[in-house]
Amino acid sequence: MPTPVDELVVEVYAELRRLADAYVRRERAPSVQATELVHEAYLRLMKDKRQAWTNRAHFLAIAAISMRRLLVERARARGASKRGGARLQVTLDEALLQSSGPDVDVLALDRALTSLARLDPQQARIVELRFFGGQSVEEVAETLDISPATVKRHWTVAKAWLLRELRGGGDA
Amino acid sequence: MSSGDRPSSEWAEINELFHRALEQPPAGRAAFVRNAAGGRSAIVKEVLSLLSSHERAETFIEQAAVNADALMAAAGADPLVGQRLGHYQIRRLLGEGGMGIVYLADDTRLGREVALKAVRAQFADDPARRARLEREAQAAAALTHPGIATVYALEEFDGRLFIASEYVAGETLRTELGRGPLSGTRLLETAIGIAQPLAAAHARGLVHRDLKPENVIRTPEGAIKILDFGLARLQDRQSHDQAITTEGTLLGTPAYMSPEQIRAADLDFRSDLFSFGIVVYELATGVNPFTGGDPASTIARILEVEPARLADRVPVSSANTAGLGALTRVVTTCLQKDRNARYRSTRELEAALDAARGASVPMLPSKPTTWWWQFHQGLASLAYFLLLIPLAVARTWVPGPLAVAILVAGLVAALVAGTLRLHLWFTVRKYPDEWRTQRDRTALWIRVADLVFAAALAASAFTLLPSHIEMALVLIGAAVVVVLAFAVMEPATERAAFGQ
Repeated sequence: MPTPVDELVVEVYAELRRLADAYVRRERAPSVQATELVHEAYLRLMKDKRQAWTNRAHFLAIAAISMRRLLVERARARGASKRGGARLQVTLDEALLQSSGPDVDVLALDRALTSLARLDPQQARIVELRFFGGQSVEEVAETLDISPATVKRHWTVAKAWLLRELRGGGDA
Repeated sequence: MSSGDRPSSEWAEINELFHRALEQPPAGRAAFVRNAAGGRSAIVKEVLSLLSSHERAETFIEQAAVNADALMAAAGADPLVGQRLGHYQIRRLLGEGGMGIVYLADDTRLGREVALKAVRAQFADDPARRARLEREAQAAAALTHPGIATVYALEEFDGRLFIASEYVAGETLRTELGRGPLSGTRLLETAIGIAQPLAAAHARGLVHRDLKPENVIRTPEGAIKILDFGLARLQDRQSHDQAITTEGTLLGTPAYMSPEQIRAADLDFRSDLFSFGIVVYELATGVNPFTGGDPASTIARILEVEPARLADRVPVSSANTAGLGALTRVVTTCLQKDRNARYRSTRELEAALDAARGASVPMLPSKPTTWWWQFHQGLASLAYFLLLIPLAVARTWVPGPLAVAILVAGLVAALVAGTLRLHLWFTVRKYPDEWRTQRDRTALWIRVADLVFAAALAASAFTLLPSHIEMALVLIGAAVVVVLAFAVMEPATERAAFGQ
């Protein structure tokens, strides 16, 4: 059996950051295609851990991290360009985004998620995998090696907590 | 996340209360929380706040930001992985071959791992092809041999055809070749490992048609298994027998095809013999004798060019491998352009390989009998080096150019004879099947060095005779012992160890 996904995900988190940063630094290519980044990360991981990475849950777990980062970069870049600043342009193939995409402030969600991670890392991961990785409850359960029922429970709390942070702001 | 950063107990309690409150009717939740929290206002406030947020959170982030399937497709990841097809749970990609994509899957009904090959769509659509595919899968499934990955079933899911077969862990010979050619016993045993199942299948009238290093796996236990037996027609070539399509363009690699396969003739087992010859050639030399450049020139070479003899192309390190001559003859016979000139049956090929193995059988029956020989080699080397001491002493006692010449001759002879003996000793311990070749290579040098050494001892003794009679006698004695040792004792220990 492959190694639990989550261990591997943690292990490659730094690699993904490095990859994305490399794109940012590469001045001649100020724009990065999201799929390109995910694909490159995927290929690298495939090469290292051929056995462990070649399944859907693994892939989406990697993708979740990169997509979160990419969406945040994109949102920041939009804000920056409004103020005249130049930032890395993340181009997202619209097909990658859900057609009836949710109207969520990605930057605020990202910040709230980071706070939630301090409170409950697992809940934050579940949100990351579901929202940014498009994983189903079952897939999240496989990724984190917990039961689907547990995923659902955590998901309910995390959602309530995040929504409150986004709406009302501030600690309760 | 690791269990190291566990949430606080307060957060755990908030979660617990939140879930229990949700089980209550909405109207009674606030009272329930106040009651259960027992007056801890911070917790009560947090849970109530979460509950109120929960009521508005129905659609919040329920729709994922990304489309997972689109993402996987865009990144080149396979959407079937992780999915379930009938009673197969697809675990991961195993590889992508001419036949299509191969997955590792769990057969949940029988609780075993299988290799699930997705057959290309054009086979499922055309009824004639499909019927043929079914016949071939049936024939392949009837074949069971420990050296062949068994075909289990032909399955259909959503109009797509899949072939379920035995999953063989291990690495292909292609991967192994990536680390360099094989030699010695490993090479021969691998060839035999392929020939045996081939002979069994041929005896039943089945032809592989696509034997190549990619289709042969060595399991972690060291056994050889041939994959995709009889399934070659499922490849993306129109018909595997036809390397060239009507437009004259080539599909797939012809690198392991027989001449008759290229000419699209009817194939029999002898086509496999040709492919076998190429595979063994490549295993031994690291190169396919016919490839180079584009597929068209490969085809031309297969049809026209006689490859260099196997024995002339093997790396220097395995040039002295015993049995190489016999293996060269086997490969040459398999690579005959005229299939009538190849073996008349694969059993015949097997027998020829067995004979090659006979020629390469290590000359060492068992360890204990080589003990005395090893002892002799070690002791002789040691004695030679030690005898250099009296030679050096003699030079100081009776100096002069002659003494220097004697010392130098003795030194060189002792080094040559001693080192070569240690080399043989090491060979016997580490590479027993190469012993005879190494012995033949070194025999003359050892003999000459022995004689020179004995002569040097004797000459030194004569120069010492007038002044140091005792030392002279010792050196003469040593010279006699050296001669006796290599002329009488060594042959005896060698015979005891290696027969003859």
